Parts: sequence; C-alpha cells; structure tokens
Amino acid sequence: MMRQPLVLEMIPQSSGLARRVLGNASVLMSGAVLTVILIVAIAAPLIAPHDPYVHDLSRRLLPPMLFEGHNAAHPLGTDPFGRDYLSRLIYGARISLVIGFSVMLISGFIGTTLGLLAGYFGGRIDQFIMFVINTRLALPIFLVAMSIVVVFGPSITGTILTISLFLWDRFAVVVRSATQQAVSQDYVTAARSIGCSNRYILLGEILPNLVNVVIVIGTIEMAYAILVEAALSFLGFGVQEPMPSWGLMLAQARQYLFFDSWLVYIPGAALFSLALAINLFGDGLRDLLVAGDRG
Amino acid sequence: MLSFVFKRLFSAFLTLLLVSVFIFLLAHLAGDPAIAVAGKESSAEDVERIRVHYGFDRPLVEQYFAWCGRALSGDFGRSYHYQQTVSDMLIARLPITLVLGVSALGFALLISLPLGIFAAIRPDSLIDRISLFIAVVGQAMPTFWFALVMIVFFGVTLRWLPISGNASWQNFIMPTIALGYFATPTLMRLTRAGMIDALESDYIRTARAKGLSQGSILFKHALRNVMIPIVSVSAVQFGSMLSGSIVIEQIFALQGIGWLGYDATVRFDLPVVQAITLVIAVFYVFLTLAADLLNAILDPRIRIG
Amino acid sequence: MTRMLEVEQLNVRFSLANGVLHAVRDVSFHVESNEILGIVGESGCGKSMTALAIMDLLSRRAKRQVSSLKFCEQEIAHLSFRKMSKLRGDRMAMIFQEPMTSLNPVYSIGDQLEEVYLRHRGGARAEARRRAVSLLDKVGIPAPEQRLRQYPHQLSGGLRQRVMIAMALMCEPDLIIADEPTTALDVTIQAQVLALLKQLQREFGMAVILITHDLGVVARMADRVLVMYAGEIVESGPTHEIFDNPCHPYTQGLLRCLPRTLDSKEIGVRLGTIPGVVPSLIGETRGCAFANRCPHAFDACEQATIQNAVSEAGHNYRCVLSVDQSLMHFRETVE
Repeated sequence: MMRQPLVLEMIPQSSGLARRVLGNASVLMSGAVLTVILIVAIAAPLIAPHDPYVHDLSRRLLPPMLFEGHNAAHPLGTDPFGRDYLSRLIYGARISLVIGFSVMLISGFIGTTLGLLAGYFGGRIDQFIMFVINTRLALPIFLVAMSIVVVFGPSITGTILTISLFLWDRFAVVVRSATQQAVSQDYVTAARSIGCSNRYILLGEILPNLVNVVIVIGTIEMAYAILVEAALSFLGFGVQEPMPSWGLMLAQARQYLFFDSWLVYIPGAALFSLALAINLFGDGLRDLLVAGDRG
Repeated sequence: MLSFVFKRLFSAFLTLLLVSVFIFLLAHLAGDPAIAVAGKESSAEDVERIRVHYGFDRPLVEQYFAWCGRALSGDFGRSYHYQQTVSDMLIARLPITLVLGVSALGFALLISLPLGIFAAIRPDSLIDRISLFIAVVGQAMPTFWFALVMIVFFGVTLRWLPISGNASWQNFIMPTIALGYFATPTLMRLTRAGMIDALESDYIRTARAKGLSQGSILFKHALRNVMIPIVSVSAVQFGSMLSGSIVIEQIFALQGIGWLGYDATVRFDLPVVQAITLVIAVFYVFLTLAADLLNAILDPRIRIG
Repeated sequence: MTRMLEVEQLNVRFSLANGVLHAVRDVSFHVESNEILGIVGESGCGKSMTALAIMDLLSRRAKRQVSSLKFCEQEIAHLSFRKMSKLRGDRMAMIFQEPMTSLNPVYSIGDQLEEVYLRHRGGARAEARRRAVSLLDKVGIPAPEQRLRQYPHQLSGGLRQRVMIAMALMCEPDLIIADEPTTALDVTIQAQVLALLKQLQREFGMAVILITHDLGVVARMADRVLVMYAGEIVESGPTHEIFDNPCHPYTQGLLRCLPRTLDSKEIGVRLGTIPGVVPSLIGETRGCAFANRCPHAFDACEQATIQNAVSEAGHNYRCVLSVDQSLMHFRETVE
C-alpha cells in the first residue's frame, strides 16, 4: 500500500475558466457523494434491509439483481454465509468512516503538535523530531502493524491506534515547514517583542494560520487511513469477523473470485468511490483554502 | 562534501539504532519467546531449558546487544518454524522482492516522467487532463482490489498472464503494475508541478533568451532541477513498495520477503519478523542516503554550499 | 547608420478572469545601430513587456500583436520558435533584472557561457572556453579561469550581473536589451556596471535598449529616451532635449520629483509628486491615460486617441497641449 508524499503545489496553477468550473464541479459532486455516504452510514439501522450479521445458509451466494438466480429481497446478493450484501455494505460504511475519521483526528493531533514544535523551536528539538519522523518512515507499515495486532490482539480501538501510529508523519512534515515559514514572518517577531509567551504565539498566532493546510491534509490522510484499514482487514489483521469491514469482505470473497466475482467488485468499488470522493473533496478544499490566490 | 556524507551517515546510523530498539522491544512484548519456541503444549521444564538455551533469561538490554551483534554479522538466528537459519531464508527471498520493487518503481517512473513533462509543456491539454485523471484515480484505488481485478481480467478472462507463483518474468507483470501504479500519482504530480515551476523560472527565461533549442531547455536546463525532488521521493516510494509488497506478494503468491513476513507474523516466528523488519528499514535508510548523495551530485548548492 | 530595430504598433494583451489587460498599447519606436536607447517609466508601465515582446519571450498567457517588427531590415514578427531562437543569443541578446535567479543554479558559469557560443557558432569547446575567459576578463571579473568552474550561488549579485553581461556578449550581438540591469544591485556596484555597459557599447558598437525606472541612469547613459506610461510611449527624443524641454505633463512630473542638487536655487522647494494612481489597464482606454492625474487636463483629453505631436525633429510627445503651452507650464513650476 503506497504512501503519497504530499506536494502542496499539486493543483495546476493555470487558471483557465474551464478548470475553475471543473474544480468546483468536482468539489460539489464529491461533497454530495460524501454527504450521501455519511447519511447512509448514520442511518444504517433504518436503511439496511437486513441484519448484516444474520447467517442464512439456505441463501448463500445469491447473485445481485439483474443476474440470473437473484432474489429480490437481496438487491446486491448474499455472501458465502447468506448475509445480505447490501446491508453489510451499508454497515461497512460506518466502519470505514469511523476508523478513517478517528485516525485522521489522532494522527492529525500527533503530527501537528510535533510539526509545530519542530518548526517553532528548531535546533535540537527539530533534529530530534526529524529523527522520530525518519524512524517512522523507515518502518514497514504492514509488518509492524500486524506485529502490534499479534501482541495486543485485534480490536477496533487497536486498529485505530495502530494505523494512527503510522499516518502522522505527513502532518508533521507539512506543519513543520509551514511553521518555519510562519516563524520567519514579521508578525511572530512582533508578538515576541511585546512579550507574548511561546504557548500563546503557537496556539494563538501560528496555529490559526495553519488550519487550512491541516484540514486539506486531514482529508487526504483520512482517505488513506480508510484504504490502510481495508488492506489490514484484508490481510486478516484489522477488523475481525463478523464485522462487515469492506476489506474483510474482500478477503472472504477472494476464493470466489472467478465464479461469484460480484463479491469482489462491490466492496472494492465502494472503497474506491469513498476514497475518490474524499480525495477530490480535499483537492477542491485545497483550491479554495490554500491555493486561493493562484492564477 | 565529505562532512556532508559523514553527517548523513551518522544520522542514518542513529535512525537504524532507534528502529532496531523499537523492533526489539515490540518483539519482546509479544509474550514469552520461550513458549513460542517450545510450543504451547510443552512442559514447564522444557520451556525453562529453552529459555536458558536461547538466552531469554538474560536482562533485556543484554539480549538487545547480543541480537545486534549477531545481526551485524548476518546472523539472525533460526526460524522457530522452519528448519533454516533466517539469513538463508532472507537470501532466498530477498531478490524476488527487490526485483518486484525495482520494476515497480521503474514502471512508475516510466509513466510519470514523460506524462508529467508533457503535461507541464502543454497545460490544460488532453494529455494534461489524462495525466491528472490517472493521478486522481491512482491515489484512491485500493491496491489489493486493483490486483484482484487485474487477476480476473488478465489472468482469467483474457488468459494472458499467470496469476500466481514466481516461475517466470511474466509472473511479475501484474504485481509490478499493481505496486507501481501507486507511486505514479505522486511522481507524476511532482514532475508536472516541478516542470511547470521550472519552465516559468527566470533561468529558463535566460536560456530561451540565449536562443537554446527547445530540447536543450527542457532536458538540459529544466529537467535537472526537477529531478532533485524526484530522486528523494523515488527513494521514499521504493521504501513504501518494500513495505507494501506484503499485500501484493500475498495476492500473487510471489515468494519474496513480503510474503515471508506475512507468513512469519501469522506463525509468530519472531526472529524472521524481526529480521525482515530490520532489513526493510535498512534498505529504506540507505536508499534515502543514496538519494541524498545523488542529489548532492545533481545540485552543487548542496555539496558546495 | 541603419535602423537596427523598428517596432510598429506593438500590443501585448493578457486574458484575465475579469477582462483583457492591455499591458502594451500601440507602441512604435526604432533603435539605431550604435546608440543607447533608454526606456524609462514606473513599474507596470509596460517597458519590460515591450522588451520581452521584441524577443518573443512573453509568457504563455500573453498575446503579442504587432504590425511590423523589423530587425536589421528583416521582418521577424512571424518567425517560428526555431528561427527566432537562432537569432536570440546570437544577433540579439537580453540582460535581466534579477541576477540572483537568472542563472541556472545547477550548472557551472563556464558551462552556461560556453553553451551560447557552441549553440550558435559550433566548433570546439576549447574555443568557446577561451572566448568565455576573455569576456569575463573584459567585464572586469578577476581570476576568470577559476570562475568558469564556479557555480552561480558562489558569486555575489554584482558578479553575477557581470556574468550575465558577458553571456550576452558571447556571440557579439547587434542588439542588447538590458532590462533594469542594475536595479537589484548596491548603489556602488550599479555605477560600475553601468559604466561597464557604456564602455562595452562604445567598444563593440552595438545598439542597446536600456530599460530603467531611474531618470538618473537615463541621463547618464542614454542617447535617446522613450518615456512610457500605462503601456504607451508618451514622449520620445534625444536625452538632453527631454531633460531640458520636457513637453508631456508626465515627464514634467517625473522631473519635478527629482531632488534638487545642493547648488541649485531650488533648495527648500517642496519635492514634487504626481497625485493619483495609474489607471487600470483592463479593457479599452479612451483618450489619454494620464488624464486623471494631469494638472492641465481638460475634457478633450479623455475623448479620443491622442495624436503624437512634434516638438522638434526627433522629439515627439503624446499630448494635446502645444509645445509652448506645455513648456510654459513646466517653467512656471520650476522657477
């Protein structure tokens, strides 16, 4: 699973009218998709047609609608245990969103704090934090995450904490560089000269200016967290049975890849759509919040 | 230049130190290693004998240094479950993962560099939109799903490619694409953005004013400036690939160290897990070091300063 | 003396989100061979754009439109990139304002100097190197052989600018355009670099277009002057004429802004200013662009396009006032 080191200038700078409309359209559409997914996830008990945990072996592996042999009661078919796929998909959205959001918050907190300290104080503190960042980058994510799960046992909280342990570095790097830029600005020197405490300057002056950047990175890290959780669950070290994590559903579907391939396509498409929507939304936010005066 | 190299070597060493401590502690939190070796059904005396034999009863710090010392000479101990030394297993598997990683990175660069350069020369063109599309899609696509879909499509429906094992080079095609596709968005955006910045820079304006040819402007003047961040990012991406190889090797049954790592973790085979984690970390650290050195060659401001 | 450069009706436009920006409006002028033409005006008046337009170096977003652009009697307005690039660096060269960023940081000074020569003259690298050394020497850089191996970041701003000048001279061009070559330098270095430029011009007999916002520079260096405002040429003529008998109210305003020298009887007189701001150049401009700031403006100034009036041979100005009226206003305020 790949890390995408962030480059803040990724959005094209030429400002044709077409591009601006396209940018806005994608924010609107992705925002709409995200809202729908969020509503579906929150209202899962009301929307899902069946209980996602109930086995019904008499109805295993029913194909989705439009395919031969389908059952109208299960529009997206059933899994190898006879559980309604649509319901599992809907409840799975909850898991992805909860984990993704929590990881974003935790790793955002860790990374932003470290980045602020490193960028503001510089010197030894900066060197030390850079070491920690480098150490984190040197560790292979999946192997170590799996080992942690082996040590402490699998759980949702554990999964969240473990993934958070690996996703704070981008926050740290970007916040650090933004803080360094901020520190070189006059308003910081001015604040220091009138005797403001470091804590006030960091929290009151610098941090508010970084909020936009942190939000943009947050969305992208959230999408990435969702994909990492899915991969972990796929490997068997994330969310466990009987919970309907999309990654887990994919793992279970693997052996049916050739005959009942909808089992693979559906959760994968869901993951892809969610990640895509979050990424596009984040890109759009960046256009609006960070690269505001470009073009 | 020399002091630069020394400084980087020193920080590489410190990072590896930190990594090794972390790995060691993690492994020893995982429960009693003596039991892991002896097996759950062993008697208390057997467990105790194993404990003494392997040195698990010594203080942790001493065990750590002993482990480090052995590791430095290439001895990672024996696997708990396979009747081999860990180093033998590593030597057998490492080349496969390295081949996979190198080809994946090569694939990514092969797509990103030309696309990124082209998109920068002609922003807002069709190529530009295609490249952005590839970037956006690539960033959201779950690797393992992409791999599975490729298997269905190329392996089964079209029957063009083998879907498991590592018998021949064709076995590496789909894994390379799956793994490489994920570095592509980053590298492509980096190339494009870097190239656009370079082409709008003052020194490129000077190059044009000197009447240099388009080729010289792009490939001599602009590209070298753009390559500097690309080299650094490529090294980091390669590290990511080594780490992500677990998933890909598992899906395609490629017997590299990723697959081995997965297998060992499931079986709780401590020495193997420790060794593989360390090896990957070592690769990452030295690759980034090499990237920094390469950058020092490319950019005189770094080496002369 | 042939006309090295003839520009007729040059326009440069930018398409922005809220309209079309006319950065350069109907600019026409010529440059003789073996003269220094100064183009003076404030920031944003279009002088740099004019220079870039002549060399076809405008950014992608700009549109150049010109009825005639003749270099050495040959029309170059519609030349392809390839043909134009053969002229650039060889027959016409440009020196830019920011020496800190105008050189490629990853290649040595020698490499960047030699490549111009190799590109246009071919031949062996050794010969290009010899020429580079001799030019570095000529522009006053000590230890030129060592400099060849150095990189831009190892040189100070003044030295880099000298390197830029040497680079422009590698192929002995007929025309050099210097866009604010000393603005980014220390005052003492400025004087040296300008003196160097003048000396080289005399020695090589090139035509030079010197772009600056500094009237003092123009007074020292230029044979003829163009005064630009809001994308137009508002006055042009021989330097001494412009300084002694400025006819356009803007030029007069500029001259009034200069602090008086110690032995002048105007000590104690308030420093002149020009009230108001430069008008927006987005969209069409009717009439005189200076009208909203001109002390002598009246209705006719904002109606139609102002024609070029002639003061003396070679001295033109774009104003409806007659020469006598205008000069009278000028002398009033000065005395």
